[in-house]
Amino acid sequence: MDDSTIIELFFDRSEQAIRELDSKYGKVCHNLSYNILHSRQDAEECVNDAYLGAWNTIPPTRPNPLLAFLCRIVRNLSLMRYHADRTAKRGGGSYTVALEELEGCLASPRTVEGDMKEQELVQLIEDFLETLSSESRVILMRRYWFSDSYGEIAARTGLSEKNVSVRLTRIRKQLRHYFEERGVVS
Amino acid sequence: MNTTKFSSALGKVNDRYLMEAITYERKKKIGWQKWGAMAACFGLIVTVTMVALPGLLKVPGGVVPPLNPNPGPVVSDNDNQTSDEPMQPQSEGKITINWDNVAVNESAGLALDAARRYYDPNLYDTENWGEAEIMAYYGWNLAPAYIPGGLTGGGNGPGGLMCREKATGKIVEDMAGRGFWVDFWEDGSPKSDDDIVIPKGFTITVSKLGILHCGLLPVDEERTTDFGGVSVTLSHCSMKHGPFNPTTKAPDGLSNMPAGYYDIYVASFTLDGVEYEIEAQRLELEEVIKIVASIINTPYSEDFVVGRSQDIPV
Repeated sequence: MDDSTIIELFFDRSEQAIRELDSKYGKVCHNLSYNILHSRQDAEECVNDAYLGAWNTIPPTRPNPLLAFLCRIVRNLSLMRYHADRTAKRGGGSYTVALEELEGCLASPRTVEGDMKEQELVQLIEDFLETLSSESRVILMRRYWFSDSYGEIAARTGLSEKNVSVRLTRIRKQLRHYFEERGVVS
Repeated sequence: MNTTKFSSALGKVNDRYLMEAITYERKKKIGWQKWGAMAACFGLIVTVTMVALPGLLKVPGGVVPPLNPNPGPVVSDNDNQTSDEPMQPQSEGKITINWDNVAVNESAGLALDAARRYYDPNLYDTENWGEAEIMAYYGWNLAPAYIPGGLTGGGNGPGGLMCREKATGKIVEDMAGRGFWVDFWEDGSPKSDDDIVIPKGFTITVSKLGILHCGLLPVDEERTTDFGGVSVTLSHCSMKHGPFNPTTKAPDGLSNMPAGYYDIYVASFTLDGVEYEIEAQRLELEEVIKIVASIINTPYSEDFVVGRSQDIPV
């Protein structure tokens, strides 16, 4: 079933919309949430909450693309739960490791981004993404947006895990340099 | 910079970056040249670890003379043959393949980077080939007589890339290929039909000028088997597939624990001046042998038997 038909089901307030959404995108959403939470049960709950969020948002929203819209909800809910779990001293999954990787890249004794609004930072990141090749951009997004493991990225891109690791190291160096040039970190 | 702040901001980047990351594999595989090149790097890399097929084909009395004017992948009674028991007698036009003695050179995996050849558009003209051009150049549409059940040659059909030197008109690249998969995406690229992201199927790559291998791993030895006068090299590589469990390591200690493993087989040979490479993923060795046999057994016949030792035919 195509996205527009699913959205029409939402507009018709048909519960079939949830079933179709789960059938089409359930696996992607579960993987995304699990990568962050490292808990099948928590991931399942987050995905279900995301479906509820979609149900409450559509209508009036008519998201396009639907998958990106859904992934955002899943990620946001998963990160909220992740941070709550961290507070409660529960461990995280790939997301924890990915954040640790970034710490070395972004850490700075003197940070000057304090006054930077988040939207400005988003724009800066988008500008940086545009400097990358498509492949590198996907690697960055899969690692730090979807919290994919090296192995998952390797399977998706056809690269070896070692190569993914090397690419990510280079990308983080580029990112660091990019931020330094713009005074975001020093 | 705070990693959480970065992560939060990254989470708000434009949808197009998400969709690119989600659909990347499929986008990269639009057209035969793109996914074919990837598949080439995939399997051809494994090619380096070629498996020999000694004793693959055997019949009593050694090499069997062709039973028809078009010698098929006949039998090689080589030194590695372990069984002296007579095989089933061959019937007219049939080839009998025993793969008891197949020796497989295992590959450690794929090479890190795939080398791609770039042609300066100021110096070279390139054009995409479809079925008609491939039929005219290679004489067939790259669909072997034997195709394992469940696979189809749908998608974009056969495709190729031809490149000529502008100054001389000389053809410098003529690779063509075709994929046979369980399913295809709308853009013609292979699609998996189950929980494993790796599609099941195979590709055929051909070239008169030589297939561009990319990122092949070195191999210490490369044993081949005589398929009725055609020397065939076969290799195997076991690959991990996701999702990967981030909390435990795979037995090799090099990655997280994969959900499972799948096989890649690559068979390569040269027939009538054309280099062939058959790359199969998630297929059984027997299926790969049958595909190769059906291509070599001119004119692309399905008239062969594959089996094990005394049990032939299976």
